[in-house]
Formats: sequence, C-alpha cells, structure tokens
Amino acid sequence: MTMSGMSLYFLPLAPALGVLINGLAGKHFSRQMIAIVAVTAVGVPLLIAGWLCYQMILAPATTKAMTATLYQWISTTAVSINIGLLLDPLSMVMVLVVLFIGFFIHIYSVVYMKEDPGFRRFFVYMNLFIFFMIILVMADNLALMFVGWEGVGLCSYLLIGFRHEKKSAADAGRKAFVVNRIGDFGFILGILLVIVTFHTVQFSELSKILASHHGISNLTLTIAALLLFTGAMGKSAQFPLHVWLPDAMEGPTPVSALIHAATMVNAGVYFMCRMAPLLQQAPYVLTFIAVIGLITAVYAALSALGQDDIKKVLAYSTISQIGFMFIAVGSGIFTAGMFHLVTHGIFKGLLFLGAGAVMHALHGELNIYNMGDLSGHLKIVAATFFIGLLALAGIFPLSGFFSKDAILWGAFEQYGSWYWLLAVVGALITALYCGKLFGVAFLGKQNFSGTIHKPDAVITMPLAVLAFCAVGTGVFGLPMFTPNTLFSRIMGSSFAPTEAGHAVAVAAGSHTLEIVLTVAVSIIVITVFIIALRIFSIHRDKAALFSASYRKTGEFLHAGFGMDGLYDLLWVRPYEWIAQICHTVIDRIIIDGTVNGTGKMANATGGLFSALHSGQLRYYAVSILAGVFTFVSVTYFLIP
Amino acid sequence: MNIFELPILSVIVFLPLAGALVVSACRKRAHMQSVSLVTAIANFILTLVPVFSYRSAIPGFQFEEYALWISTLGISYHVGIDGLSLFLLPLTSFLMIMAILVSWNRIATKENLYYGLFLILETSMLGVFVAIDTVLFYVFWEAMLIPMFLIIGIWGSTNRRYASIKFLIYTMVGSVFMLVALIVMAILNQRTGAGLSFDFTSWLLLNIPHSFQIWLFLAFFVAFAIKVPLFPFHTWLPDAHVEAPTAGSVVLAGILLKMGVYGMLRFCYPLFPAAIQVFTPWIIGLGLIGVIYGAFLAFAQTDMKKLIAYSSISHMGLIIVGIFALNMAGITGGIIQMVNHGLSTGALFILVGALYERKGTRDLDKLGGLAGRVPVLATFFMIIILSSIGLPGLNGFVGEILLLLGAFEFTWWVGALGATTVIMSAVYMLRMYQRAMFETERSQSETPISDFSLREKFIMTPIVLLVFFIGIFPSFFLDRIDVSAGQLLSQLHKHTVVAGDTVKTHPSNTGGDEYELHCAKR
Repeated sequence: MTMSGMSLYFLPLAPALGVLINGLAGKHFSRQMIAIVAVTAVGVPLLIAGWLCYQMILAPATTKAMTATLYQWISTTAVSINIGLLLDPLSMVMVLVVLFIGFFIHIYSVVYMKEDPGFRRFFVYMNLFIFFMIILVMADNLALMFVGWEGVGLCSYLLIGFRHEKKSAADAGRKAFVVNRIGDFGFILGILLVIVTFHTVQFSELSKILASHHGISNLTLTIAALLLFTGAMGKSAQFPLHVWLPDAMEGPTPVSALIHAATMVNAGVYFMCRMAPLLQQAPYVLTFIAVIGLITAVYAALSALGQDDIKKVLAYSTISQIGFMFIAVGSGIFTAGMFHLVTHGIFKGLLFLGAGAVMHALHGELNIYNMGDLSGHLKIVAATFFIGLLALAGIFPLSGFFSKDAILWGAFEQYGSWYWLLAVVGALITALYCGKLFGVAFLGKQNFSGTIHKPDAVITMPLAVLAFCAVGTGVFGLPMFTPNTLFSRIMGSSFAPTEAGHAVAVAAGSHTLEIVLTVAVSIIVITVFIIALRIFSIHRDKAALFSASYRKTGEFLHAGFGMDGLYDLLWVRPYEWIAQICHTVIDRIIIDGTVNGTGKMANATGGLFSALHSGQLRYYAVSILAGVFTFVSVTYFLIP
Repeated sequence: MNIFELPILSVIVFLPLAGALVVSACRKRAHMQSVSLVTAIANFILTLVPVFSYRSAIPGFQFEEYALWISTLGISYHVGIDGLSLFLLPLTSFLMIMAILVSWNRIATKENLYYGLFLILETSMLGVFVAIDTVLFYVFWEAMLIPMFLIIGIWGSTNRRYASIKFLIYTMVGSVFMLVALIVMAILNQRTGAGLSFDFTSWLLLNIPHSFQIWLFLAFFVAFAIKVPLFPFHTWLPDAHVEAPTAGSVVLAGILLKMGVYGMLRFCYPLFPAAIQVFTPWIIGLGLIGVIYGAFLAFAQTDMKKLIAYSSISHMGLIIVGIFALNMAGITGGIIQMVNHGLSTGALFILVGALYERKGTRDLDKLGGLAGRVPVLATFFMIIILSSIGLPGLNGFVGEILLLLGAFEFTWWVGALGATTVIMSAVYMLRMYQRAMFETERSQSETPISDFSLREKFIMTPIVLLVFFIGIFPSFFLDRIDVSAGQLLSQLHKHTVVAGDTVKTHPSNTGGDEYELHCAKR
C-alpha cells in the first residue's frame, strides 16, 4: 500500500495532543475553546480514518494491512517488544466505530456537560480514553494492546468516579478497576505464557507460527487462550466478572454511552477476534467462551427485566448483548461477532444518549416508573429511542436483526438446537424488556410533574445521526443467508481458516431450515415486543398486579441474582478478614512480639553480665583483643 | 575509560561529604539550605556523567579507581560501577535533591546537623554502590546507619526513640554476620595463595567449598534480607517510616531498601552460586509471602505512611522473587524495578508529607474530599499511584512485567502467585486514594488549605517526567543493564556446570579482562 505510516501515527496522536493541550494549558481556556480542542482531537482522526478506509477498500486483498513500527519499547535478552501499529480490516472497523461514535458523543457532551464545574477534566479524560482505545485497537502486539487495555480501564475508572465527592461514584469506579484487574491478572499471565511459548508477542508472528507445524502442545495453547479470555471477560463484563458494569452507570451518561456501551466494553470481543488464530486451535476454549456468552446473554437479559433505572436496564442489556457477541466468537463466526459489535455500538450508543436526553429533560430522573408518556413531550428523542430499541430487539429490517440473526444461526450450526433455543430465549427476553422500557417510559400515562427541558439541536443531532445508522448499517448484513455478506467482504480474510470451512458447510446444506428459523424467530420476537408494549403502556395496572404477586422474583432480578451479595460474602469480607488477621495477629503479636521479646531477653541477659562493665578501659581492651584472637584462630582452624 | 581524566566516582562519593563540612560551618539557615541544595544538584549532574558515557556493550566494572589502603591486610580503595549500580547513583543523588527540598520549611531545629547528616548519608550510600573492595563496602554500609539513626531519632515524631533503636539494632545484627563472612572470605582468599585480600574481584576467582558457601551465603543474605526487608525481617520498616521525617522516609524507601537487593546481586550471586541453587526455592517462597502478606497488611492500614511502608514490602518481595528466579528477565526486571520503586515510593512519601503538612494527619479515617480542594496535588498523587500499581506506559509496569516473566519462567505458579500483586496493589492503593482524595471530608474541618506551591511542583514535576520516561522509553535503561545482567547470570551458571560438593571450576573469564588486570597490578 502506498500510503505512509505517518497517517497511522496521527490517529492516536491527535487525541493525545488534545489531552496535552487541554490538560496543561486548558485552565486558561474558555469552555468553548476546550470544547473545540476536544472535538477536533476526535474529528480530525475520524476524517483520516475515513480516508484510510477508502484506500483500504480499493486496495487488493493481499495488501490490505498497513503496519508501522515506531521504536523498540522493551529490548532485553529476555524479551523484546515493539511499539508498532497495525491497521487491517479488523482494526479498521473498530477504529471507525470508536472514532465515529466517539465524535458524536463528544459533540453531545459539549451541551450535556456545559453546566458542570469539571468540564475541562471531563474532556481531558474523554480524549485520553479515545487515545488509549486507538492504541488498544491498533496495537500490533499483545503487550502494546495491554497498554491500551489498561489505559481505557483507567479512563473508565476516572470517568465512572467523575463526581468523586459522591461515595457511590467513587466506589463504583474503584470496583470497576479492581474487577477489571482480576481479569487482567489472567491477561498478564496469558501474555507471559505466550512469551515463554512463542518468544514473541507480535500478532503477525503469532499467526505465522500458529499456521505452521509448530509442535506446541494443545494443552499450552488451550491454557494460553483461556488466560487471555479471562482478560476479555473482565473488560467485556462477562459473567461472573460483569458486576462492575451496572455500577458503572454512576458515571455521566455520555460516558456510559461511549465507554460502557459502544467501545471499551466491546474490547474483549475485538481482542478475541484478534486472537482468532489461537482460538481456532483451542476448541475447548471456544466451547467455554460459547457457554459463558450464553449464560451471560440470558442472565443479563433477565436481570434487565427487573431494573427500574433506565440506565441500569441499558447496562444489563449491554452485558447481555456482549454475551451474544461471545456466542458468535465461541461458535467460530468471528465476522458475525464483529458485525454485532458494530451494530450494537451504534444502537446502544444511541439508546444511552437518548436516556441522557430524557434525564436532562426530567432534571435527572432515572426511574422509568416516574416517567411515562414522554413520546408526547420529546418527539425526536422518543422516535430515535424507539428505533434504537427496535434494533436492540432485533426486529426486521433494522441493523440488530441482521447481526443477531447471523449469530443465532451460527450457534445453531455449531452447537445444535438446544443451545440455539436458549440463545433464542435470550433474544425473546431482550424483546420483552425493550417493549417494557418503551411502554413504561414513553407511553401510557404521565407519571411526573413539573416542566420539561426541551433538548436543543446539538443533543438531537447525534441522536438522529445514530438512529439513521442504526437502521442503515443493516445493509452490511446483505445478502442474507450467505457467508458472503457485505460486511464479511470488508473484513476480507481476517479469520480465514474456520470461516472458509464454514462457508463450505453452508453452501452444502440447509438453506431452507435457516430461512424458516429466521422467519419464525422474527415473528415471535415482534409479537413479544408488541405484547410487552401494550401491557406496559395500556394495561399497566395489570402488569403492576402481576409483579406485586411475584415480588420476591422481581427483587431477585433487580439485584442481578444477588451477585453483589455473593461477591461480598466470598471475596470482600474474607479479604478484609485476612488483612485484619495479618495485621493484628501475625505481624503485631507473632513477628514483632518475637522481635521485641528477643530484645527483652537480650536486656535481661545483659543485666547478668553488667558486672563485667566495670567502666575500666583496660578490661575492655583485653576482652576485645581476646575476642578477636579467639575468632580469628577459630576461623583459621576451621577453614580447610 | 574516563572521559574527564578525573576520578569521577570518588568525586561523586566525596562531594557531599565536602558539602557537609561546609554546611556545618554555616551559621545562617538560608546558607545551609543553599549550600546543601547546590551540593546535591551538582552531585546529581555529576552522576549523570557515568550514565551517558557508560559503554553498555562492555561487561565488568567501568570507571574503576584503585589505590592501596591498608596493604598488609589486603584492603584497598577500589571503586567502580557496572550496569547493576549505574542507575542507582543518579537515583540516589536525584532523591537527595528531593529530600533536601521537602525539608525546606519543615526543619526548624539543629538545621546544620540535619543537612550535614543528609549529605554524609549521601556519601555513604553512594559509597556502598561503588565500592568493590569489601572492607570499603562495609565501612560505607555501617556509616550509613548512623546518620539515618540520628535523623529518625532527632527529627522524628513521638515514638522516634523506639523506632530509631529498632532500626539500628535490626540492621546491626545483620551486618555483624556480614562482617564475619567478610573476614572468612579474606582468609579463604589467602589460603588459595593469592594473599590476604578483601577485594571483591579477587574473590570472584575463588573456589569456595559447597559447605562453606552455604554458611557464608547465609551470613551475607541475612544482612541484605533485613535491609530489603524480606519477610519475616520486615517489622522495623513500618515503625521507622512512621516516625521518620518526610525526607528520611524518602531516602529510606527510595534508596536504603535497594541496598539489600543490590548486595544480593553484587555479592551473593557471583560468590556463592552453589548456595544460591540450594536456597532459591526458600527465598522465592519468602519473597512470595512478602508480596501477598505485605499487600494484605497494606490494605489493613489507616496510617498512610504505614500503608506505603507495607506496600514497599510487597513490591520488594516481588523483586526478590524475580532476581532469585535466576534468569535474564528476572534479573533485568529486578535491577530496573529498584529504580522504579525508588522513584514511586519516594514520591509517595513526599506526597503524604505534603498532605500531612496541610491537614496535620495521615489518618485515612480523618481525610477525604481533597481532590476538589487541591487538584494539582491530587493529579500528581494519581499519577504516582498508577506508577506504583504498574499501569502500562508508566515506569512500574516495565519492571513488573519483566519480574513476572522471570518468575513465570522459573515455574508457572510462582509467576501466578507473584501476579496477584496486579490485583492486590490496585485494591490497597485505590482504597487509600479514594479515602484521602475522594468522597467528602471526614473530619468536617473546613480550614482552607492551599494547593501545591511552586517549590512542591518543582519537586514533583521531574519525578513524574521520569516516571513517564522510564515507562515509554525503558530501553534507554534496559540497554545499559542487559550486559551486566547477563554477566551475573553467566557467573552463576559457570559455577553450577560442575555441581558437586566442591566446585572446582575456575571462572577465569568472568568479568572480562579488567579483573585480571588488577590481579596483575598487584
């Protein structure tokens, strides 16, 4: 490819400059100036990325990947790691998602945060996040990816705890960081195992080795894949490491939209796609991923059903949707997983921004039962929110339909009908809570009083753009029922080995079954959605009666199956308990007690000999001499 | 070898001593401060000379100086540095500038003694890092104790007597063993017919019988382990830190703790390879206990200084694990992590000192809500905490990943246990940060406090820049360390090729030609 590496560097450089300018000099700037810097720092690389994408599409299949090595980061005899960037179709898609959604969320935030005293801090963190996200996505090796990985985790921590004077916000940020670190514990060990096994962390080298007759044992590959997946579980909030994400909603809503819906939480899926060559040789891990994905998808959808906080519904829904992406990864259809990542990023970003607009309008109200009939007051917000929900529920012909359908069918092929059935249940529950959410919050009778803040154009414009994309990106899922969709053509040969095999299998067989299943599921989903809409808007009394009679279940769902309590019991409390035991018993009584006891004993013994301390110098001199003589002679005789 | 044709190492070592003499003659406080500051800065610049003119491809000591001292006892003035000690010199002189600057407005009694002692301390610490003759090493090693003892004992807080005596006795106990071992080594050297000698380079040529190695190793090891401090020899550290004035804590955590690791690598590694092989599993075990136990203890603290002290035990434990994993990654990581830990822990104590000056407490149950009131301090604090918990891109990560790689190469589960620090350090550090800086003020005191002054910004900015520099361009350091680390390792393996009761191989090539040059000189 003819373009220079310079343009690659510019993608992370621009947001980094934004951080430096606003961070170091920003206190002398007006808010407008800060906003301009921050938005430009995302907008300019978006344009460049668009241009690069255009170039990439034009390029022949063999030269689609662009690389640029900056310098040698760690160079020792033990290991050497480069700072290098890689832009291939896989990272291109991700870069576009990050910058595109990021750009509109930055614009949205300018208005959303305009009253906030931490305006500058907010945009510094947001630009920093974009920087690290680009590093994560474009890294050409595992170690550099880990830099971005931890960096976005840091930004997530800072932004969740943005209103740090609130204890709940600070706690939530810390929880996110620590839970992510539990995953990263696995990630680091995975990196170490990769270094020890392959002697490189470069993705291209790894693929090369994996494609050859490498002679590395299956067990090693399986463990490495498993360890790396642990990292992905933490970042992408997969059961049981998902507990931080619902709490992460303490952050400002644009943060939830950007970090905790559209980009960072999906990094685990991207990471697994990047590691596809390894995963393809570790079939047990693929199955494991599929199981975790399925559990998460269904579990989180059920939990979403029990939430009454609009952001928490969306948070659990995000967990559940990422579960679907991991179902795709686990079924070996990485392209479908990435496609769902893209569509989900768009419609979930849209939904969060919509939720933010609603909160803005209702002076910070979060409880959906205190809303109702918003569609009459906030027409554009309601319309775009509805589009987002249709996409989330996977209703034809919105983008979510295409991406989810591909996943369901892939799961059916790989793991059979029972597995498929459970995944479909997850999809149905999704439709159910989507219908419920819209019915309760936007339809029915009004449950709030007071004035409504009408959102201005800067708020609604991003909504409109994202809504348009939530409808339009479905195009990339065409032509349906073939492995040769537009999206997979863009992705090119990223995941060649299994998917080629996959394509053969599809070509050989059961097209009719696929179409029948799709249509059937589609009809059921639409039905469930409409019923939910009606129940929760028109027949809300009946719904309330119903939920009153199953109060316990409702609470159980609301608490996310009591996972937080379980963590508290099994992890937090024992941790504190052990720390206290170490502190009060072991360190103070046993170890320091021994030390001070020795001191006292020495004192007492010293008392016995104090008679010798006559204070006369010659005695001392004689005893010193005697001591030295004894010591030297003894050593002389002892040493051979 | 020497571009300036002047004994650069001797100048570096003794310049602070000269400064101390001048300070003791000063009468005005401003004079004392400026003399000591100028001395410290000049010395820092001098320590950069070896860093930039160091030839990283050459193994063995560089910038060597040799002079007879007490020839009948085989004691000489022999100094030199290699990749192991290269960065410890600028680290020492750098932190010394910070130590003097943080004391600026704090110390109001006996100032000339105070600054004089710090400069003497600097001389002795630098001496430890450059000494090749072991008696010289021992003299510096012991000389270091007295100023530190006095600094804690005179300018410390309420319980300073207990803490300073505990510090002194603990360390002295260790060094007594080392002294015995030094004498035995010299006699051993004589037995081989090479004459009585305390020169480390001539000891390298010895074949020490296996059983002797064990005892000699232990004698050295205890002295160093107390300094590290390795579990279970650590209880002096929290007490000393809590009582010491801020500058004392900075030097203690930043430099003194490194001497233990330095001593192990410098002496135990090449001299007693057979003993190393015997004890490695046990030492790694103690190191791992230190990592996890220190982290739990740090979590249980409410006094910020104690918390950081225990976090040091945890971090130093990981360094011990790394260097006793006996591979390149572990050794290299250990050496670079000494610098990293010195920087970040030194900075943490500076920050806690700054908080204490403002709020009059370090108690996490009484602080809170400071991020909004002192944003600059809070930002620096955050960066240093991130460095301490090994965020990639900052300095701590480089050392941590190498150490963990070393541990992992040793045995996978040692690496896994060591890597728990990834989780546990985040747990205790973020808890501390949150309780001090976030939420709302717990003590309800609304007395206005000021953000960082210009002087304080001047202290923290270079530290933070270094934190980033090491994190982003670690190769600058690793390149210079690599050869020496390889040399340490090769010395280890050369001996262990012939394993048995007595090790007979003669490591004639270890360390390059310079050693032989010196032997020839004599």
